[in-house]
Amino acid sequence: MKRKKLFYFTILLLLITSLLAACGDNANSEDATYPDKSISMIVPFSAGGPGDVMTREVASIAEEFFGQTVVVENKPGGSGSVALNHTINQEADGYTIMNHSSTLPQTMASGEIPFTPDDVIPVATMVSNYHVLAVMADSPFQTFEDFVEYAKENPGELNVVGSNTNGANHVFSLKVMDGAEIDFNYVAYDGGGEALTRLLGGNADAIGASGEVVQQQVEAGEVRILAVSSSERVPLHPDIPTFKELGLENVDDELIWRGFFVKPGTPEDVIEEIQDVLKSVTESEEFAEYAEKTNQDIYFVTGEELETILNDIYNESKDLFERYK
Amino acid sequence: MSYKKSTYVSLILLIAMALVFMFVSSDLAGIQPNQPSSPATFPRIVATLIIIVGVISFITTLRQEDEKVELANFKYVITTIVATVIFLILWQYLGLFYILSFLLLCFLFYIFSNINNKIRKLLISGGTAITVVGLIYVVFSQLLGVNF
Amino acid sequence: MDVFAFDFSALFTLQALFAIIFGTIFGLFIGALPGLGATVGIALILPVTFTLDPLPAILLLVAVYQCAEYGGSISSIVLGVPGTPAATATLIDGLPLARKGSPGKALGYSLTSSTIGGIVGGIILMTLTIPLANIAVKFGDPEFFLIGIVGLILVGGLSSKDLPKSFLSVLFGLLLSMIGIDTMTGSARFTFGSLSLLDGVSMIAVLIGMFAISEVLFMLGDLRKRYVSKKENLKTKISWEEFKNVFKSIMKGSFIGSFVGVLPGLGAGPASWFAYTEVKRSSKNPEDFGKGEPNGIAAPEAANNGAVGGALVPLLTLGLPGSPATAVILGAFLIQGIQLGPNVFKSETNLIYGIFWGFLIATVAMYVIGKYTTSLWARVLTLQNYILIPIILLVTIIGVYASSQNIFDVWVAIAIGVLAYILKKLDFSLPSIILAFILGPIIETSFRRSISMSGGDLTVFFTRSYSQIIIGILILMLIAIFISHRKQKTQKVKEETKAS
Repeated sequence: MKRKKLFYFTILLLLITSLLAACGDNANSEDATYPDKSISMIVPFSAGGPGDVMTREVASIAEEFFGQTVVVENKPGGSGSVALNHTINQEADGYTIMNHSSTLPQTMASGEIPFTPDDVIPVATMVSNYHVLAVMADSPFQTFEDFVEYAKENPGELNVVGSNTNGANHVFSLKVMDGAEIDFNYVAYDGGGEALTRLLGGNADAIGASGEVVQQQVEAGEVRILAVSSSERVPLHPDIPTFKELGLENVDDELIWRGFFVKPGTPEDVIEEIQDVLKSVTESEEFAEYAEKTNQDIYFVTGEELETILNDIYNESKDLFERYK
Repeated sequence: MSYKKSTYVSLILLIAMALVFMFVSSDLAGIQPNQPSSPATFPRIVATLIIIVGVISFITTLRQEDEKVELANFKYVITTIVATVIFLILWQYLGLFYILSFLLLCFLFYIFSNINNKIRKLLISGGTAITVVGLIYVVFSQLLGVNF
Repeated sequence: MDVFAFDFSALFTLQALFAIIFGTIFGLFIGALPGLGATVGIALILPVTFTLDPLPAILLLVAVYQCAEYGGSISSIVLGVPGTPAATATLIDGLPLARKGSPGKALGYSLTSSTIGGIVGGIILMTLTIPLANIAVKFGDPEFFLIGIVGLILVGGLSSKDLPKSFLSVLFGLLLSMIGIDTMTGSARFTFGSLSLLDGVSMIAVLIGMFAISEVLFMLGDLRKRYVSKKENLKTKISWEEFKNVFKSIMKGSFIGSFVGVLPGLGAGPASWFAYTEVKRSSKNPEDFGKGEPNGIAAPEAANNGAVGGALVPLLTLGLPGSPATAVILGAFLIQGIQLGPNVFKSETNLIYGIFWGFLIATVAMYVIGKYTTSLWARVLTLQNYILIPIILLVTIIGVYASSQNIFDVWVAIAIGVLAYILKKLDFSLPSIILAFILGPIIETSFRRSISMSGGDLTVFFTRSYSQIIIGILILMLIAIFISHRKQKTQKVKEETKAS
């Protein structure tokens, strides 16, 4: 009996150690140039979310290009400010790289967190997704024009659900209101899934979300997309117009993107090194596969172009939040 | 410690907390004025209810007979809390989690122990502490990658 | 469409069976460590699934999910350190039973109930997935608001001998839950400038502080105590008689768990508490609860594992994750290149049925492996209190820190622990504080969303058909509580007249 117990216990320990040994850390090599020790990637969300999944994917591919271990750390909390605070309290040496999305400048603009775009340097974006305005398949709104017409006659009556306040969905909805000169009621939920549930249950009139959130329901014929926010029509839905075609010049390439940031003061050559690695990652086959499986597009932007995008989002969102208070 | 007196103190503190929440809520009431509810609506309802039920509880306590609240080994309770607080302060500013937790365990084992021989007491406390800390290091840091 | 027409050879591959067994062991292990629950466990093991085929990959995660939900009760029962809201419900009777010298029995009740709960949840998942998902999706904000209110009234009305203090506890829990960013407007409330409070007071810090740290302080009252002196009391098992005695509670818990688990956003925590309060309410001896009553372990444990099957319903049919743990599993499906949604039953029939059957196998594996490994944890209780207390204290600190990597949360836990130590002495109700803290955000946001969508019209809570059903249940429960109070009173009067 005793022996049997010991046997089970040994097996348990063996199994756990063998499969988790992979998570252990490695020794540093003695190279003088960056990177000469392991790099941390900080995720401002809990483990398992889309931002976390992407960072872990990037980390595992980038290890090869960096020639160093890349450790992913989750620092959730405070709408990203816990991670941001952690990042800017480290050395500006490029060994701490923070993941975030286009939501970062938006939360900054809302005043929800006490930071501005000057507190970070954007290194590169990796993937993106477009926004959609979608309704149930049995909705009376066949086209975006129907939606606008009804909203104009009944201001404030339509309920549009989306994920979070002061985030990408919220800004997108405000821009649609602004561009079409209509007024509807944006109701925030904790995540796109929860918002979609309300639409499917007949408890909301429309959803403003990223394309990946509604994709499956669209394929099943349950949900109809009225318009997409990219500047060109998307290959997945060639019949659906863009907002730009419909006359909403302000909703042009309104994308949700995910990317990486470092602390201001990080040396130029280090930032370039990180950019090179991230570029190689986006060009890798594994990453392409990941992007395809998760319904995202590879979207690699760096340098001044990215800084302009970041500042534009910040200023535009700030203006919107003030006007639609 | 008197049961009735401690209840009064706790009720007063709770009502004070409700008042603070009520007071802070006034800054929140103006957000999104065209919505039927504001971030202040719920805190105000709850704070008001706390004040009402607090007063009711005050009255029912008045009518109760007083009893003594037993706080067994209160000296140890205080020692443990103080040691933990010192541990947290040092951890926050110095790091050194494993060394500090070894010291915390060692200290608590030592003062709780009833072994008379001081050297033996110290050896047993230290030995147990190092085993526990070692086990924690293996499980959390080595197996699960949780770093302190 | 037939679940039984499934080709079982897909399931009995080396990879699939290994995934289930490894997932079971890993889930039990991670669940038993305080502060690390199902979500963290699934996230940690996620990278391993990248290299597996879809079926073993998902089964690995589902097994971890199922077993971590059960494993959470181990640290609750043995150490008094709860890692999840669900495990906290188990703690209330599990800890006293273990401390009476029978940790093996307490763990046995918990393992048996968890297994049956898991199987009931699995069967419901196999048979009712599509109709249940269709009902669940119809639940809007007014319904969630009403369910939250039902929960609060149940726990507030039942938990303490001092009714005003019991309701004050509920209100205090609600007040705590309002700290942090308001989801509806994004404005920070009552954070007093602290970044760490923006996301609210950490749930794990509150749970561990309120139950584990206050308990450590209570234990200091008797430093020489040794809870378990007989080795045979460590064995995880219960007798047939004991099983029959709790069978009704297990079934109640399993069904409450499976159905509450289906509703996105509620899940295992509220399900366990609902099951606990319901079994306590309908019990003939409600005064035994909190002192080691087996039914008080059986019901919440069956419920939290029933909720696992329930939570997979909206995930598999609609691609909607109702909890953080299922959100990670959704991510794993995406990485495997499978888009969950209404079409998945047609396009991936074999995979879905494989998950169903694998889920049942994982639950059985949990029973077998659990039976032989959980008693190892109970061994801790053979230590004397003066050794046990510092260890538990350090483990609570580690648990809180591991859940968020933030020392601030450890401070919160210590503060709440000291507060709870005093509040418990003064007959405030700790379970009421916890349940209100869990349900607070659901109640508030669903209320505000409801009236935002209705344009300020409050009748929305009474005019919808599902709301009316919930209101009906609420009224029935209030009547039941009222009658049982009357009974207790007349009984008291009778006893008093007898005595005089």
